Amino acid sequence: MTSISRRGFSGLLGASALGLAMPSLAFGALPRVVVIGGGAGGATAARYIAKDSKGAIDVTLVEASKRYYTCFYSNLYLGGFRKYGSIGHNYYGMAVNNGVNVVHEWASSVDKSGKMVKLASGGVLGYDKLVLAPGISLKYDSVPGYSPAAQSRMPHAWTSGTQVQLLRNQVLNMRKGGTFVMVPPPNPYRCPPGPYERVSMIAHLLQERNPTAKIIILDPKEKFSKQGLFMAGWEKHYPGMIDWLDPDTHGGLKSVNPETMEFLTDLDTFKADAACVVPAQRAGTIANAAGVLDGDWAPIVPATMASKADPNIYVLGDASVASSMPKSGFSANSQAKVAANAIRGELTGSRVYPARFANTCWSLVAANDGIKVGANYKAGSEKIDVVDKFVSQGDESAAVRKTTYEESIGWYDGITSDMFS
Amino acid sequence: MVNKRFLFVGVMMLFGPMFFFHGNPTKAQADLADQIAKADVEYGEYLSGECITCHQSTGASVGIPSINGIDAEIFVSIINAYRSKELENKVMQMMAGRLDDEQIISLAAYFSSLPD
Ligand SMILES: Cc1cc2nc3c(=O)[nH]c(=O)nc-3n(C[C@H](O)[C@H](O)[C@H](O)COP(=O)(O)OP(=O)(O)OC[C@H]3O[C@@H](n4cnc5c(N)ncnc54)[C@H](O)[C@@H]3O)c2cc1C
Ligand code: HEC
Repeated sequence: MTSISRRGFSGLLGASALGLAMPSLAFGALPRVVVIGGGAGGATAARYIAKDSKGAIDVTLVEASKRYYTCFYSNLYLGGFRKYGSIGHNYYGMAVNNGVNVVHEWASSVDKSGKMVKLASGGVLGYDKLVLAPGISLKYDSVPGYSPAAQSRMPHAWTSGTQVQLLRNQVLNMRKGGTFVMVPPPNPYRCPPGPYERVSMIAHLLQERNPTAKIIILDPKEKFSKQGLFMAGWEKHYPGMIDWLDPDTHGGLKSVNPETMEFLTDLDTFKADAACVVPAQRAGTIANAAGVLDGDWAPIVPATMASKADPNIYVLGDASVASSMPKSGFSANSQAKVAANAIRGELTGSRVYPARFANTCWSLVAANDGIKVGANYKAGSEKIDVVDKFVSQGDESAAVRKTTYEESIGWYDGITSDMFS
Repeated sequence: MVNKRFLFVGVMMLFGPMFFFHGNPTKAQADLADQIAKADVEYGEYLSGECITCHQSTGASVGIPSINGIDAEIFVSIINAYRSKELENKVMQMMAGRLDDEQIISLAAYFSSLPD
C-alpha cells in the first residue's frame, strides 16, 4: 500500500469522525482481510487489524450471530452469579468504532486458489488474507445414543446460548434429592477446567435449592485440569454431593438414552433427573471446508498463526493446534494479536514483533473461592513453547481466593472490551 | 489484613523511585527518565496488547487496577518488584518475569502516555 500515504489515512479517519462513511471512500483500493467467526479469536483479530492499520486495510468480519454469548462465565450464570444478559455482546463497536464491515451470515466454503469466501446466502467475498476462527463443532456420535435431537434432554451447553439457559432451567426443576449426571468430553477440548467449574456451579445452585441432590461425573479421562484444587473445593463446600468416577471405576460409558435419561456403564446404569453431556470436539466446519485440517484440528506456524496448509490463511483459537496452549478464550485473544501483527506486516509493511502468547484460566469453585492456572509462551519452530507457568496453591487463604475471583471479573470485562469495543 | 500492593504503591507515590536506587539516586533517576524519554513507544503499544486483556484500555478498574496514565518511574519500580517477587500476585509475577529492561521501559513510556 505504498500509493496511499499515512497522512491520507488520518484524513480519512478525520472524515469518519465527522460522520462520513470511511471504507467506501477507498473501496477496492485497499488490501482485504476476511475474518470468519466473531468470537474470542476472530473478533479480536478483526478489531486489532482494523484499529492498528488505521484504515489501510479493508476488514470484513463474517459472523453468523448478531449477539455473541460468551462461553466464559456461562458457568457463573448457571451458578446464579451472573445474569444471562450480562454475557451477551454485539458488534456495534466493531462496525461503528473500528470501521469493520460486519456481515451476519454463514460462510459455507473457501476457494483457496481464487482467494474467495462463499456465503451460504450466495454472496462472495474476495480476500488477500483470510482468518479462520470458527471455534468448535461437536462430534455428537462420540457418545453412543447422543445426537442433535438429544441435546434438548441432555444439553451440552458447550457453545453457550440457549443451551445454557435450558441447562439451568433443568437443574432448577430437578426433583428433591434427584441426580445430576455430567459427562465431560475427552481431550483435546475447549476449556480444560470448564466441565469441573460447571460441576462446581451446579453444586452451588443445588446446595441452595435442592441440598440433598447428588452429582455424578462419568469422566472418559483419568485425570483433569486443576483436579486437586477442584476436588478439595468440592469436599470443603459440597461434602458428599459430588462423585467423580474415572474410566477405571465406571469401565466406560457404553451409551446414553435421552428418553429414559439413563447412562449405561460397565459399573452400573445411572438414571439422571437432569444431565449435561459434552461430546468430543473438532474444529468448526468451515476449517474443514477450507482444507486446512490435519485430522480434527488445523496445524499452524507458531510465529504467525498461519495455516501450515496455506500461507494466506490464518487459524486462531479452538480450531487450531496451538499446543502447548489450551483451547481457551484467553489463548484465542492472545493468538489473534500475534496474527493481526503478522498480517498487517505482510499487507502494509508495518513493524512485526516476535510472537508472545499468554493464557490464564480462572475457575469459580464456590462463592468467593476462585482458582487460576496460567502460562506464557513463545513461538518455537514446531510448536508454541511454555516460558513460565503458575497454578493456585491448595493452602491459600480465603482472602487470596476471593481476590482471585475478583481478578476474573476484571479479566472478563477486559477481554470482552478488547474484543468488542 | 494489610494489602502489600497498596502499601507498596503508596510508598512509591510518596518517595518516588529514589526509594529504590542505592548509590547515587539522583543519577540513576536521571538515567531512567532519560531512557523513558527515548523509549520506543510503538513497541510499548504492541507489548501492551498482552496487558490490556486484564488492564482495560478504557481505564476501568473493577477487580484489576487500571494502569493508564501511571507514572513511568513508579511503573518501572512496580514491575521490578513483581519480577523479584517482592510483590505477590502469581499472574503479575509471571507477566513481569518475562519482560526485559527494554520492554519495561517501552511499556512505561506507553502506559504513562495514556490519559488516566
Ligand atoms: C463452559 C465454558 C467455560 C469457559 N470458560 C472460559 C474461561 O473462563 N476462560 C477462557 O479463557 N475460556 C473459557 N472458555 C473457552 C472459550 O469459550 C473458547 O476457548 C473461546 O470462545 C474460543 O474462541 P474461538 O474464537 O476459537 O471460538 P468462538 O468464541 O466459539 O467463536 C467462533 C465464532 O464463529 C462463528 N462461526 C463459526 N463458523 C462460522 C461460519 N461458517 N460462518 C459464520 N460464523 C461462523 C460462531 O458463530 C462463533 O461466534 C469456556 C468455554 C466453555 C464451554
Ligand atoms: C491475567 C491478568 C493480567 C495481565 C495479563 C496483566 N496484569 Fe498487571 N495486574 C493484574 C492484577 C490482578 C494486578 C493486581 C495485583 C496485585 O494485587 O498485586 C495487576 C497489577 C499490575 C500493576 C500494579 C498496578 C497498581 O496500581 O498497583 C502494574 C503496573 C501492572 N499490573 C502492569 C502490567 C503490565 C505491564 C502487563 C502486561 C505486560 C500486565 N500488567 C498484565 C493482572 C494482570
